[in-house]
Amino acid sequence: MLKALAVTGIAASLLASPLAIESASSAPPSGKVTVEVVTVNGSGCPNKTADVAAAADNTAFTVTYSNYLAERGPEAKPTDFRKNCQLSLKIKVPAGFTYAVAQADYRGFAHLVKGATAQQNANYYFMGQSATATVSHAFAGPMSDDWQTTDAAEFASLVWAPCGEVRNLNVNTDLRVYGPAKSTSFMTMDSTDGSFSTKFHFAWKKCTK
Amino acid sequence: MSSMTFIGGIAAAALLAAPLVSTPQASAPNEKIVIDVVTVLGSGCPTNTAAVAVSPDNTAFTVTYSNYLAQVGVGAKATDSRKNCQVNLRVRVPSGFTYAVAQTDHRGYGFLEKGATATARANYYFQGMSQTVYKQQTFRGPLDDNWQTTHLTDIAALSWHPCGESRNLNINTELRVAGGTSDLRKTTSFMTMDSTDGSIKTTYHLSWRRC
Repeated sequence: MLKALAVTGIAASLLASPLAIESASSAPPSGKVTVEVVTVNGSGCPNKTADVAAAADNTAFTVTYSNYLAERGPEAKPTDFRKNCQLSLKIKVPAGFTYAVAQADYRGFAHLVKGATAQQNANYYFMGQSATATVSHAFAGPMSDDWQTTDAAEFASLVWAPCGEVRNLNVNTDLRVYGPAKSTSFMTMDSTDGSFSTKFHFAWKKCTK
Repeated sequence: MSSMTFIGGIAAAALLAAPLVSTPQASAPNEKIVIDVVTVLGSGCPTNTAAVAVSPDNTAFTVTYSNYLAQVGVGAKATDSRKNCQVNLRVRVPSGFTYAVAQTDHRGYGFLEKGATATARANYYFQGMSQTVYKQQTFRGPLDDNWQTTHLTDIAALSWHPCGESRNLNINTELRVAGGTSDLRKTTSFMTMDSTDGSIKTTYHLSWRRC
């Protein structure tokens, strides 16, 4: 409904002045929430084992890993059952009211013997705030297949600063594998994707009179 | 939102002020999709083990691997049974709606004992989208030969990036080897991936699309 109203508004303005077409089409698209990966580090993603690919407009990113693997079994060290990787994200929020959907997609592979279980967890918190949102996904053996999970959250924001605001979001992911020590169970994370899809955005202008 | 109004505005302009604006046309033969390889990383292609070659017109690429090998049996760690390599591509699309097909050719070598099996698999998805398309091929031992598999993926089926947002295409390949009935205490079965070639070809192209 809101979208429809806004579109009608644009159409009306074009009707009133066809000469405004040029300026309307050259207006840059703005008002999107953008996200930038600042750091990637953890026991599951030590230096040189993670890579970041950003979308051209910074509304999304992909982190890939070469050695994010939690393992339980005869070849594993006792501490290998849990590995983590923390992402620090710089989120730029435009001025005005913004409504967006933040989404994280996790993909990987799990080989779990019968009796083994695994968890893929993610903690989300804004820098300097103690409030933490934890989302957990559970897996149970026997399985030997790719897995994929999605966490999504609505993101509503009201920013008064004329140039928008920057907020730092921390995402700490981990993989945990539990179960019999006699045979090997393991779980990998291949990639983490994050995105902000801005659904609508209202900005305001100062009155000039 | 801004893209929504933007496209709405264009549509209105085209309809109302038609003589002033070139009319939208289907098919533009010389509009190509160009690709940049942004990252290549995975357990099968850790840092410094993959090389990327891109065609001069940026419509195709080849990734070669020096250590992309999955194995089971003598000499193999338990976690060596599965290796992956993910390629992230920035895809620049001509403005408007494009229907395209991504073709990937995977080539390698397989040595499988009788009773052992292997899978060469790839999944395709756009950044920020849960939708994933899987393609795979299974191999059975005894095998001692090169292998090759071609995947054709409709990009439209993958839900092309949403209006006004640009999203990279991810191709995650993987090799899996399972011992099956082969004797893992005496033998080794393995699969390698030597190269991945990719290209995106435009099937048809419309000069604009409504969100």
